[in-house]
Amino acid sequence: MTEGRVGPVRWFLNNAKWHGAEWWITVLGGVLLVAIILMTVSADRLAPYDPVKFVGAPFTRPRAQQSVVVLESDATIGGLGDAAEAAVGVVTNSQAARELDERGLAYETFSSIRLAVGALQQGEIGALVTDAQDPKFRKQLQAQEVATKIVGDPFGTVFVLGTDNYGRDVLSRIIHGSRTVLGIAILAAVMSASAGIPMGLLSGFLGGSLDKALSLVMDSLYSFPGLILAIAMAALLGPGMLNVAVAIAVIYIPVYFRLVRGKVLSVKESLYVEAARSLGAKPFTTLWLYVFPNVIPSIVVIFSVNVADSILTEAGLSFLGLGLPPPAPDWGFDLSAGKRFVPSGYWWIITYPGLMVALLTLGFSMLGEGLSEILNPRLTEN
Amino acid sequence: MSEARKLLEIADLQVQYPVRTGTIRGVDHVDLTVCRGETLGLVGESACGKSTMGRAIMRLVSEPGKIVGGEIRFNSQDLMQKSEREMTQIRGRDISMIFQDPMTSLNPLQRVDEHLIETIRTHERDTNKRTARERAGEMFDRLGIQRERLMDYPHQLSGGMRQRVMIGLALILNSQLVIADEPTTSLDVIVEAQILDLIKELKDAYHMTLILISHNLGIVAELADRLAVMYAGKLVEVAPALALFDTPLHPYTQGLLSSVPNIRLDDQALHTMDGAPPDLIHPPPGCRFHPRCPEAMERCRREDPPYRQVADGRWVACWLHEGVQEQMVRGRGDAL
Repeated sequence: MTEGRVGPVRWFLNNAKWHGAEWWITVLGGVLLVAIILMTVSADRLAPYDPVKFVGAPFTRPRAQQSVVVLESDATIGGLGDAAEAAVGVVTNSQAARELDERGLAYETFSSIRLAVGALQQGEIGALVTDAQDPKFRKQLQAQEVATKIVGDPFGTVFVLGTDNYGRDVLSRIIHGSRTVLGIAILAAVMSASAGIPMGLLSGFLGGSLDKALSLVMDSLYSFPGLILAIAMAALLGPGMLNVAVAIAVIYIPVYFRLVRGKVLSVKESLYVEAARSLGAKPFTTLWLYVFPNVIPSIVVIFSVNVADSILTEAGLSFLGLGLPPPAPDWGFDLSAGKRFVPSGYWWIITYPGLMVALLTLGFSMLGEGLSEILNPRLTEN
Repeated sequence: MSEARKLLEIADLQVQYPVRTGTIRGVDHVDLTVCRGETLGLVGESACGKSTMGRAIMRLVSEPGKIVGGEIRFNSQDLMQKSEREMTQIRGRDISMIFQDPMTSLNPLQRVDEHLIETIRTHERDTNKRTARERAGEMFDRLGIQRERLMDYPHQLSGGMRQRVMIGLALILNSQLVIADEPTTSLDVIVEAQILDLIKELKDAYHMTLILISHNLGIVAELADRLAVMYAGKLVEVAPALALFDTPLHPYTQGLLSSVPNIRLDDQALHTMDGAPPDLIHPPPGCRFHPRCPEAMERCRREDPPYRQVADGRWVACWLHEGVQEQMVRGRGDAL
């Protein structure tokens, strides 16, 4: 054997079958994950808007041209330039306000469209600039017999994925929501791994009545339908990131426990463990240096599959309203909040968060499955 | 044999495996003595209990097996009375073991040197890593492996090298007793010869006592001073190696020896023993070998022959040799 020592990367490249499906699956999954994790890490820089603020008109279509509706009363306004001449009213925190700031234009702010329209009608302001292109809003204005005129699109394309029913930017919510989802899912997976792995190690290694008792508890926990148990736990613990993570973690402890225990039982019988014992290795040494390292590869695989599972469960919980409290960006919650607007044709509110849940889950699953194929010694033998 | 020369004395050892259909008597009332510095060959067919014996000496019988009775006296101390913690200290330091399959007896995730260093430091806490590494290096010189292979993982070594490392592990602390459980079974003949030479050489260098467990009479003939033949959990014959090969007393030993193919004899037929090893849950009554024994008598079917000394250093359990003792003793008396 002349091969030298190789690093993990070279090892991976050597062992991966370049044309095999598992290689592509792993890489694709990895790329997806890296992209999503990068997005999560730099959410503050990437997200164009604040995810919890009403930054635009409700139900703005994806990539729709941001229109400024200038409502004329007495003043004759030809464009935004002219609007500056008149007293301009702006709805608080709207994109329009930000743009006017940038142009150094003075304006008055109103906390709602209704108040602004009232001010317009009473002649307090000469024009109202808003992001609205909302048919409902326009209908409301028509009902109040206010003439509307659309003046250009000074702000260009703004909401790449549209806005939701409150006028929050869907893209920003997705980007920030990835933090919530990934955070909870990984936290949950780490928690259940750090509870399940030591228990599995001890149970398999020590055997006896401890093993019987733990196995019984874990098997009964395992026999529960996961989501139902998570719902019960989440309802019991109340909202909050940590609580949701705990609720999810509990249902996945048996996954690690059973895997690790089974693996320990087989590794424990292997000759090198027996050899170590015949050389006087203490039980703890045997467990820590001989058994545990040989269990790790299967944990790695199950971990990434488990994160994928946790993501779905987290989405399920927040879909049911058991996730973080509402203003927090959360894909599952956005799905459930947006679903009632789908019949009205506002498909983008739920499509994009749903797509993200699918992509993230797919990423972890593909990475996990691919790794398990590659790490499987039976397949790498030849 | 004087008390001082006895390193290991096994008396009435019984190892049983409870299984669903009954109890397997893996080792059934075995008495055996091993002297300091000698090589004892423990032979017998598969599943006769020879490996179980080896493991029982270290109190490492694998679950669900259990030592249910008997004494194992090592250096005049009864190992059966030791606590598990004391046994842990004895294993590897005073008694160590070489296993059959070197491919799987090293931790695949530990470098070779770590195996050696850890073994040293488990038993000698005040040895620092550097000294331990140096000793591992010296051991590698002795084993005939280049020192740079110390940093290799087990999978980077060949089978022969791995077995050398296992031998090194067993010897690094100068164990008084080494139990080699079929040390060359999974190696090819050339490597096998090398390993046997190495064991022979190190045995002299380290003054170790060796129990060589094997089903291969050729290997045992090469190394052993004395032989113990096991059948169905019992010792059937113990004798000095040469005497046993010259005049096997027990019909089973005779059968065993005659089933070794010999290239020099004109006889081309391969001798085999009829029948199969007995069911150890329900062993045959009387002598356990009687269903396969060509010389079985009525008595063999009823009574289990006692294990007795029939001549100096020759023990056998067979009715054929009842009364032989007196004859031989008388014969010798005449000569004197």
